[in-house]
Amino acid sequence: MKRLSFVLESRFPKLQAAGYEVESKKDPHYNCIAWSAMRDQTRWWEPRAEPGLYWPEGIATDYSMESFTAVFQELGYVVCDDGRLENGFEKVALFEKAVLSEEEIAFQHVSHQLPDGRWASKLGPDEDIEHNSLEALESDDYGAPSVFLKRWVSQLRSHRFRCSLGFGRRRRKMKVRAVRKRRR
Amino acid sequence: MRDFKKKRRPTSSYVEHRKRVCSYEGKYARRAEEYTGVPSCLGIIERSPRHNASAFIAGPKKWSVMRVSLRSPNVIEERFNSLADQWRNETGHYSILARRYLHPAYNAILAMGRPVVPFILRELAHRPDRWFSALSALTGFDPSRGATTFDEAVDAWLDWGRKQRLLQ
Repeated sequence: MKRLSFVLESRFPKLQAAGYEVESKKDPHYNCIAWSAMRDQTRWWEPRAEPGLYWPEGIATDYSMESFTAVFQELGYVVCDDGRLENGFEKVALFEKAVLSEEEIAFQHVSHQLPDGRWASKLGPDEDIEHNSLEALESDDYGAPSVFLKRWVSQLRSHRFRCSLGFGRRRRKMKVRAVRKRRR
Repeated sequence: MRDFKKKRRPTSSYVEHRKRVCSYEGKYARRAEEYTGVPSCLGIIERSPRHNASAFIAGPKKWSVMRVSLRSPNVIEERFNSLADQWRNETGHYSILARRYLHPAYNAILAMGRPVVPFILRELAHRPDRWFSALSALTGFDPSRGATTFDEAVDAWLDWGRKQRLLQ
């Protein structure tokens, strides 16, 4: 199993104990907001004028927690109490750090919940990981999750995902067959 | 006497040349700092056009055009590499660019001035990262203005670097 670098792992003291898996290589094209909001791997979501950056229209361009929350509310999410797994809902958790001055940015990170209850995070321009608990990323750099939002997804989709967990090999075979069929 | 002459003989080797210009170091290093405005300037000012120049500075009348040179290109390269590594390691997991740009290592790279541009371009070619705002600040140009994606911006900067002969 591939692991994060020692330097990066040491930034998150609870991560190793909680357990995680690295799902992608380092990629500066997208960040955690793009990944959690739309599974967008082509753009870096941030309210800033720079090539390759994107920010939804109509959302305030300041770096406040309210603006980052509004991005997800625009996508159909509503604020909820916690990050417990709820059937038929997908959740996101926004990490916030206490700031000492107005120049500092309170928002630090966002993770989204997978249908099996684990969480997925893109660590800035570094790797994309799946971690067993939300507390795994609590640290001096990320702070702690403070805002939770949820969105209703098809229960059928959620059920299908769970069923497919044990049939990875079968799914892969079906994919290969579909590709071959398309080539013909 | 013989030894003295031997020492004084001008040589083309860089090491000997460096020894010669080092005598100016204490006096002119401070002036280099004044001209460049960089507090920890590694450079020294000397008049020899043979030296590896990094920037031209139009000084006051007394000095006309002076050349700021660095003790060794390797010094800048080593310093840049260590700062870039530090920046990457300590901010690689930050989700917000504004936070990454506030890091002291990033600002130290900016303070190194224009001599660091070739090294940033080389870094951009080997390990693409968000160096665009640093490059714009250091060069005063923005070839990535029309670019919409990250890859387009990287290509625009690398093309610009090749045209300026800052990148091979």
